[in-house]
Amino acid sequence: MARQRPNRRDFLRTAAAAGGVSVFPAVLRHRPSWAAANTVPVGSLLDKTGGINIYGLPAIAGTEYAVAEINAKGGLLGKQLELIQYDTQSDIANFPKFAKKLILEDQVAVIHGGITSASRESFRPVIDEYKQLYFYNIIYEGGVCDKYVFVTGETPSQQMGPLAKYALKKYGTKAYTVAADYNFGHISWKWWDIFWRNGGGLEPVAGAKRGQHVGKVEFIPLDVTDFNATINRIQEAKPDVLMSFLVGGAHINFYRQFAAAGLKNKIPIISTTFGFGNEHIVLDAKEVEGLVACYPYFDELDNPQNRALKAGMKKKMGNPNYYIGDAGAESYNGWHFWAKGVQKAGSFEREPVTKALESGIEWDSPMGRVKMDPASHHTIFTMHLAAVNSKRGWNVLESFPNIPPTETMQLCDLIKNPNQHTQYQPK
Amino acid sequence: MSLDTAVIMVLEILNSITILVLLALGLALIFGMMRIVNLAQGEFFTVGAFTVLASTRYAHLPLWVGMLLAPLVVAGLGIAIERAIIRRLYGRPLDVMLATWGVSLLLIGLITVTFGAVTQGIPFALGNFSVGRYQYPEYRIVMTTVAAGLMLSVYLLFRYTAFGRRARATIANPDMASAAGINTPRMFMLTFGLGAGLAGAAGAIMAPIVGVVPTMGVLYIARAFITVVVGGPIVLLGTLSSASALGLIEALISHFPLFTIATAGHCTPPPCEISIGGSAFFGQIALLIFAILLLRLLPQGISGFWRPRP
Repeated sequence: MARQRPNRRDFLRTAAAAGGVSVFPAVLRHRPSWAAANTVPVGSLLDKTGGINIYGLPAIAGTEYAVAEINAKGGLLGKQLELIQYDTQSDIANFPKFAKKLILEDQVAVIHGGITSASRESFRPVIDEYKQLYFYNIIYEGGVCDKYVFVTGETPSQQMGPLAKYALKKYGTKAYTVAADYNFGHISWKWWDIFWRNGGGLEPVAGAKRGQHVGKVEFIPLDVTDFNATINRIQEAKPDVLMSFLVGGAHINFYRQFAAAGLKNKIPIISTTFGFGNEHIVLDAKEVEGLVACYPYFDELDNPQNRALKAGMKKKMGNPNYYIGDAGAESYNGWHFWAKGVQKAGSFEREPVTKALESGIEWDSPMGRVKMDPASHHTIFTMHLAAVNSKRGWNVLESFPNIPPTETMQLCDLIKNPNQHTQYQPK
Repeated sequence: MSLDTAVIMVLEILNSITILVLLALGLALIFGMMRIVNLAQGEFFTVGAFTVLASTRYAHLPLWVGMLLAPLVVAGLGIAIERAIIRRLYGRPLDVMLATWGVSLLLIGLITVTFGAVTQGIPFALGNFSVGRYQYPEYRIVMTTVAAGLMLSVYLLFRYTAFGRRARATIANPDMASAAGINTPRMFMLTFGLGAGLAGAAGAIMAPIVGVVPTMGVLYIARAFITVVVGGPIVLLGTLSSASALGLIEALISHFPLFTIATAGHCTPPPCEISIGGSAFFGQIALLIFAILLLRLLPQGISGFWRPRP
C-alpha cells in the first residue's frame, strides 16, 4: 500500500512544531548575562558601502578607534569589548534586519549607529520593542525623545541659530533652500523656516534682522546627480544666501556644478550637512572655499584630547593627511559616553546605565567639554562656525560655548515622563 | 518668458538629451543591434570614469588624455568579456543576462577593492558664460558637442564604411554573412567592443560632473535601457529621437511646476501645498511615465513605425 498522504492533523502538528521552533528564540529570550563572560559584545550599524558611506566610513573609523582605545585601557568593568559591525550598505531595509540580529543573536549590550534619519526611524521600533540601549551619533533634525535612545549628534538649535545669525549679518535676508528629499530634509526645512524668519532663534530674536525666503524650497531625491535645473532656478530667485540640507555621495555634485556655473563667488552657501562627510576633501578647494558650516568638531580644534585623537587616527588609517571630521568624532564620543555610563553604573544592563547617563555625565572630549542633558538624552556642545579654506580644511570663525539642543529640550523630559518613544517636530 | 530664460531652457533640454544620448549610445549597439541584454553596461560606464580618475589622480596625466584613454580601456575590457564569456552564450538570452549580471557584480567588487568605496571627485577647469541673468557652465556645451560627434561618427561608421556594412550584415544574418566570407565572430567581437568603448567614453565625459563611485553605473543603467527600448528597431536614429523626446519631457517637467495640490496640516512654513513638476524628482517621474505611455502606444518603439512595410 502506498504511503498515506499526510492528513490534516499531521499537518497541524508539523506546522505547530515548525512555528514553535521559529518563535523559540523570541519566547525564550532573556537578558543575556554579560557578567559571566570575559568579553561583552557591542554592536554598530553603519553604511560602509553605497551613497551614504561618505558619512559611514569616517563613523566606522571613529567607532573602531574608540572601542580599541577602551579595550587598550583594560576594557570596561574588567571585560574586553567585542565589536560586532554590520555593513548596512546604504539600504534602509538592512537596518531593522541587522538590529534584530544584533539584539537576538549577538545579544549586544549596546547598539551604536544609524546615519540617515530614515534609517534611524526604520529600526527605532526594533530598539523600542526589545528595550535595547541605543546611541545615535550623528547630526540630525532633532526631536527624538526616546527612553532607550541617547543622541551625541547636534540638532537644529545648535547649528541653525548660529548659521542664521551669521548669514543675516554677513550676507542678507533673502535665502533659498535646497534639501534632501526624506524626513531629515523635510523636518530640517520646517525648523530652518522658524530660525530664519525669527532672526536666529526659536522665538523672534529682539533687534535681529528677520530672514525671508525667495523661490521655493527644493527637495531633491538622494540619487539625483544632475542639478542643472535647480541651479538655474536658484539664479532666477537671486538669493543673498543658499541654505543646503543636501545629503550623501550623489549630492556632492551639487557643489561642483554650482561652482562650475560660476556662482560660488556670487551666492554664498551655508549648510548643516556639508563637511561632516568630509565633502571638502572630495571637492577641490576652489569649488567650495568660503562655504560656512557649524559643527561641534573640526580637526582644526586645538586641545590635548584632539591632538591625541588626531595622532592616533592618522596612525590607524596609515594616512598622515587623514581627516576625522564631525561624523568620526561624534561616533568616538558616543562610545565614550556609553563607556562612562557603564563605569559609573558598574553594570552593562540598560537600566543602570541609563540612570548613570541621566545623572548628567560630562567630560573633556576632542571637541572640548561635552555634557549629556539628562532629561532629553541629547548632548550640549561648544559649537564652532567655520568656513572652508583653500587647503581643504576649515578656518574656525567664531565659537559658541554650551549650546543646548533647545528645540528638543523644551519638549522632551524623559525623567518626568519616561515612557516616551517619539520624535517631536514643528507643527 | 524672457529671452534669457528661454535660452537657458533650451540649454537645459539639450543637456538632458545629451546625457541620455551618452548613456544610451553604447547600449544601442550592444542591446539595440546585437540584442544582448548586457547588464554590465553600467559598469563599462563606471570603468570609463575610473580610468579618468586613475590617469589624472595617480598617473598625473592631463584630463583630456584620461578621457581619450577611457574608451580604449573599456573597449579592450569589452572585447575580453565578449571573447571569454558572451561568445559562448549567443542565442541564449537568459544566460547572457545572468552572466553579464555576474560580470557587473564582479566589476563593482574589483573597482571597490582597488579604489575603495568612497565617492571621489575629478575637478575640471573650464569656465562659464553669461546668458542674461544666468550663468551656465561651458563644460555642458562641450558634453553636447562630444555626444553629437560620437553619434555622428557611429552613424557614418555603420552607414558608409566596409566595417559598418560587414557588421550590419553579420547582425542581420550571421549565416549568410559567414557564407559571403565575413569573419562573423570577429564582427560580433568588434561591435561589442565598440559598444563598450562608447559607454566608457560616456563615463569619462560625465565623470567630472558626477561623483565617481564604484556603484555609479547602477544609477544610469535603467535610463540607458529605457532610452534604447523606446528608440525601437532603427537603432541609432531611434535612440536619438527617443533621447530627444524623453530629454525634452524631463527638462520641461524638471523646470516648470505644472500645478499644485493643497495638503492638510504642517502649514507653518510657506508651502502648504505640493507642487507637481518643477523639480528633478518630477522630471524623473515624467520620463518614466512618458516611456511607459510611449511603449503602450508604440510597442515597437518610436522607430518601429518608420520601417517600410514589407
